[in-house]
Amino acid sequence: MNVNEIVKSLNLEVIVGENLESKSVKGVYICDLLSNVMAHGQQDDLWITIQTHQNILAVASLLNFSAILLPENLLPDATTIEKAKAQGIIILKSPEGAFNLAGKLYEMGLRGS
Amino acid sequence: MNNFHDSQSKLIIEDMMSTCVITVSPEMTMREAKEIMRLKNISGMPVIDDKKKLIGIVTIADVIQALDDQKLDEKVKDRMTLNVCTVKPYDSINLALSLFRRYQYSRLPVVNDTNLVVGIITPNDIVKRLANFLKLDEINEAHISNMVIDETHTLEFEIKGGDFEKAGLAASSLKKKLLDLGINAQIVRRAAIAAYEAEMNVVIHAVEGILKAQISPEKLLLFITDQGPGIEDIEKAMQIGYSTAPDQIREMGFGAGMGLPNIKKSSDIFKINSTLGKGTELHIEIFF
Repeated sequence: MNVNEIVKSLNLEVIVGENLESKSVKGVYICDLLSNVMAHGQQDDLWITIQTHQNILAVASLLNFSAILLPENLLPDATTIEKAKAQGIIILKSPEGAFNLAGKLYEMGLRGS
Repeated sequence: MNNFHDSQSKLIIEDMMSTCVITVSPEMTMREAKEIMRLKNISGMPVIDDKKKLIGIVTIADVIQALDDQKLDEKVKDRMTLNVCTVKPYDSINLALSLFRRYQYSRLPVVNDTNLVVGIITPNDIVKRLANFLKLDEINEAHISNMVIDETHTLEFEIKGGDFEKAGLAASSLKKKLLDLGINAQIVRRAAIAAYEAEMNVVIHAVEGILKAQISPEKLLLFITDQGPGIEDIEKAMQIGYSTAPDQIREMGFGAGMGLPNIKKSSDIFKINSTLGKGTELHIEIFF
């Protein structure tokens, strides 16, 4: 599965990101404690978090996440958007909450580790 | 680089020579001299008399000649090279460089005004010192810089407390370097986690710190030292969930009390030292 397929079927808004088809998604991880994410997130995970400051980019990039998904219409800080562009990190958003998003992703066949 | 050019003319042999000189006595046999060179992995040794004055030099070439003549049991004094080209400790490095270039010498004994051997200088000594000079320049110039020195790759990063904008840069650069070197992805992941958490600890708690990474063929060594408040109770700090981070840091998703436990879990060797009111030192090793 790739990021573009998820964007289409969950009707997500792409805040930053290009070539969404080329980014594969193998699992989902949901957490807002960055150390916990560092410890348990896996490569090619789609990461759902309510954190919007620029340090989410370092975490996503260090762990090779496929994309960051912000629930509840949260918007990243301006510097986060700018830096995500420069680093080629995909940020998506949705009006729905993390629970609903997780349910839909689960139905699509994605699992956590 | 300017610094280096300015100082080049002032550099003297004494600044770069090695003072640990392996010498031989003229009464030794060529066979014994050959054995010392083999064991010490060197290609030549000054020959000194009992007053430590230089009287000659014996090199691999002399050993080969003795071997060819079947005279390995002859004494060094009968087979050594006389008329040794030497330099003085106060001579300029330029003189040594031009002698190396002109005569293709592998080493030059350094003698004082009374002909006592006080050191030895090789082209390699000069290269090593120059590498040091260049490294120091880069640290002064760049806020955050990474550089390759010799066979072991060394990266060094300055980390500023409270600078969330640059936080994660050291870990990211280290990760990239390890991947470039072809290190296994799972090991790179552990290194990235350890470096990130250590870096974040400095950003969150300390005034400033340095993260130094040494990558050798066998392992990654990480040293993180900071000037900061130190840790009152290391045992508590190592427990998952224990944190002294302020509320605004917690709101950012840090300060969950997982940093040090995460580092320990990612490391093969983990040591921590902390002095209250001074700072904290981490020593991390991850084997390849």
